[in-house]
Amino acid sequence: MEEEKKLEKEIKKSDIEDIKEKMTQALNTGLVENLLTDNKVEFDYKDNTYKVSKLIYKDRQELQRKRAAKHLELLQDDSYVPEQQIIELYLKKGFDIKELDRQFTSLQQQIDRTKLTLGEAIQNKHSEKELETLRDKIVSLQGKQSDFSIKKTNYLANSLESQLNIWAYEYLVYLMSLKLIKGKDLGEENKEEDKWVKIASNFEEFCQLEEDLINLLAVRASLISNPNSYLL
Amino acid sequence: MMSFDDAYVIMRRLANTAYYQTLFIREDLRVFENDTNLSDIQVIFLSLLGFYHTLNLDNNSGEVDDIVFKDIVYEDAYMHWKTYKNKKDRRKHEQQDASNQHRPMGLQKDKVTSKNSQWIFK
Repeated sequence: MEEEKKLEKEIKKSDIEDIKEKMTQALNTGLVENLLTDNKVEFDYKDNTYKVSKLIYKDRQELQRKRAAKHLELLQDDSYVPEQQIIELYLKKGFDIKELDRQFTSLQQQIDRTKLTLGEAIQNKHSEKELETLRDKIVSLQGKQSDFSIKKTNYLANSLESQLNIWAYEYLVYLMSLKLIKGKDLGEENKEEDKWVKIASNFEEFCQLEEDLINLLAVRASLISNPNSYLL
Repeated sequence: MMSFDDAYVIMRRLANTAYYQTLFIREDLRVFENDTNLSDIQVIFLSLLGFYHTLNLDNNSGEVDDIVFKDIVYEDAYMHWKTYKNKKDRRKHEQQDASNQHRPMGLQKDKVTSKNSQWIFK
């Protein structure tokens, strides 16, 4: 009897997890569809309306200028170490970070070769079991590749270049984010026009915003403008 | 927080729906509200629409079975192999064309030569 109750409790727990998962998926699908519609997206957060939109030429230029200035600033600061120096320091300690790159490339070659075999096997109607074995091999190689990538990112996380990229990414989000200022109601069905303004008057002020709001803006910004195209 | 990888999986699913495939094929319908200055997610989505359009064409023509849609790894592998095969075939044809240039017409490989008409003099 007790076991039955325990089982029932476990099922309910897994049901709740399942519902949560489905809800997250539905919300994420809605967000992606929303982001696909246009090169800008609006959303509400705590009674305010925000907009994230693709950078215009003037803003892209500002980002490049600010990033260049930040780069020089970090270079003059002794607490930031360039990537190359970190790689050499690790090498002295007996760990070759560049070897991770070589292994990554070698794994990519293996993935490509296995994909060719699998693709041909699909076309030639090989057995499902054979296809699954090849698929599992690809998934496993991709997993290893992802591990190497994470390892490398972690080793170089404190490098000057990584810190500059993080800063540039945050600045990108700041430039892309706008807030709606609703026009005042003047009575008798007259109303001032709504206006979109920068979310903060400067970057420092932007960094003081609520973390949840910054995260919501960052997710949208990173999908509208791939941060990699603005990084080193 | 949704990662890019999560969004990419969703985009793949959406790109292969009848709704988005129809928007992609029909010239009188628009996929996006903006026609220019596409965002990065829109550019990626357009390439996915093209990817699934080709995959569906191959599936409809019987070149590949439905099993290809069972897993995104299968989809990628099939398209990877197809691209590789197309490149290989094209290279082969180019090489044949190059070697044919030095041969007399009748000895050229893989060329369909029509029978010459004959003048009849009475």
